[in-house]
Amino acid sequence: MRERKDAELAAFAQAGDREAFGELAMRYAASARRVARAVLGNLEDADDAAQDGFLSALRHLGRYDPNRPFGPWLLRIVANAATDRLRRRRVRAADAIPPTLAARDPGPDREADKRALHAALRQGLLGLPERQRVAVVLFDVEGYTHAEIAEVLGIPVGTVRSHVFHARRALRAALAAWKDW
Amino acid sequence: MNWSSPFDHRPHPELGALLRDALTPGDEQAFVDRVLAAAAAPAGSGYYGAPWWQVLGAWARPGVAAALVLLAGATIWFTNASSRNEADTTLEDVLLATAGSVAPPFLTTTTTPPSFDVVLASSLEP
Repeated sequence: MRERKDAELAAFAQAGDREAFGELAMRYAASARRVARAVLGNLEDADDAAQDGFLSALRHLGRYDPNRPFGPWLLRIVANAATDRLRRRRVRAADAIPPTLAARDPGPDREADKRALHAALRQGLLGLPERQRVAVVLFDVEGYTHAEIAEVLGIPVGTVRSHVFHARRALRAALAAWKDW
Repeated sequence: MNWSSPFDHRPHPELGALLRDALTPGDEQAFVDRVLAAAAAPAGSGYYGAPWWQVLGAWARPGVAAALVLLAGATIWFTNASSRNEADTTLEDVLLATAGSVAPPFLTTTTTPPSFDVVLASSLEP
């Protein structure tokens, strides 16, 4: 079956096609959850925010311009939903790194090492300002361009470049103990 | 990990992969099911699955408004059409209606045109 374009799915979803909305949600679920998690840190909060974002996008599909890419439009809503949630409640201490795992402690269990690395990375990410977190995730993970990220965050392209630069530099410092990974 | 310059304008594949692994919770289908269930929530906030009476209720006010607009339009059109019919009355109609009182009988009782002399004579008569 021909893969339907995002804009086509959005039109069907707006008209009440539940399956079309489900397909759109499936396409962007991972990205939306990652962006929300980059903002909030906590997985449960992030999923709540991502869901809020999807539902808000569904209600406002009439405002989506089908001539523009759907991803940045959706992720902007998700990022805003996550930011709202962040403002409404104090984020619970997210994924605190156990002291024994905070530093590199080579051991036979590579899987445990990997989990510790991920935890350190999330912790390093949480140490960044919110927009830097979203910018570096959208750029290095999701593959969006600086211009698209500028659209998502509602900031100038030059500021996005700056955010990505500072985020990378901070993450590099946070992962200094993992240079051999 | 091989750190290139933070100034690099291209995505950093290794950092990207690490962040992806660290941030991806997995089980997207369960998440999508949850979103769809929320979209169909019966509490009125749902987008899909609203009962028919809510759908009809949502349409009621716009429907009544549209009917009123149509009714007003039809009334205006009908009124205009009626007045236009009155304005369309021809000179012949008026002449025929008033023929008995203002026109000499020989002008209205015969089907052939009267001669010039007869018309001239009738106009000269007191």
